[in-house]
Amino acid sequence: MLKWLKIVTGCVVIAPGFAVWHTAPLANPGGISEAADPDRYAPRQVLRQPIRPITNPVIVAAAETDTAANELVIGVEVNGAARAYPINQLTGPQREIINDVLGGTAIAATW
Amino acid sequence: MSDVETKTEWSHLLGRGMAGKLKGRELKPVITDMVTWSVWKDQYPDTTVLDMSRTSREYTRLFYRDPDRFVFGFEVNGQAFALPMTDMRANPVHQFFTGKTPLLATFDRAGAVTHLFGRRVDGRVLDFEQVSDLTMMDQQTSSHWNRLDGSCVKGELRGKMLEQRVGIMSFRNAWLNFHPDSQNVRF
Repeated sequence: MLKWLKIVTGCVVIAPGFAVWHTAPLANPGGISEAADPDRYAPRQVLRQPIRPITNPVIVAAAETDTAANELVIGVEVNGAARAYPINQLTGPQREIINDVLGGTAIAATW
Repeated sequence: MSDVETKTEWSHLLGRGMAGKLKGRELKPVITDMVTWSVWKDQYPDTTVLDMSRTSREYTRLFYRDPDRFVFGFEVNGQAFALPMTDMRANPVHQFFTGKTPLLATFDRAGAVTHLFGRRVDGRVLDFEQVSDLTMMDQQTSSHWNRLDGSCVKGELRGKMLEQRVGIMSFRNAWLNFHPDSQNVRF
């Protein structure tokens, strides 16, 4: 079982589209549409050099952020713990995956 | 994206292993809101926040100035569905069935956020009508519900929660690229 997703390379990203994942794989995936079929996987771009994974992101209290009221965030609540990931901090290949722990659960926020 | 441990390459939007040792495996999605900071902070006053330098200033509420480009996408029993953002803005409390699954989508204009809920509570399917920008009422018991988090705040069902379901706000084209068989929810 994976303890973490530590990201060392990237594949094609058609953004935006965001998601947050538990970083332990499920045993039995659901239905697979044609375009999402691993047997037809053909990334248009794979990075030659690994991108250093973000595994210990700096997290602050709500009162300490300079995030503006109308900025968009990805909001997540796990086991009663809430966290916001401002999207304006997530753009660019170096930032598109944040490995984190929230409410005792290993998660990855992806953009 | 790939993981350090096995070098498997994963689709960031599907959470599916595409190549490598864990090909075909899937990560479990977590329910999220893509929402303005002010609305999220009001809903979760004790929230914490990622604190890195900005790499963009584009992603504010104004990002949705052309709502025709966006859909709220979700899956039910392996079938993909899309709620056009234009329709959600016009119908901020929208209930529908996908097959036999009774669902409810709500749109909050202030937060520019869509939520998807199941409408079955204790085995009973509820029908909702809009009461205010934050509240809705079920026609079966006249209980009042919070539109943002699906909690019942007044009436016979007070304390009950609607089951929130996973969905993501996405560019329409990106959603269709990954889900070519996606169906639009009818309004």
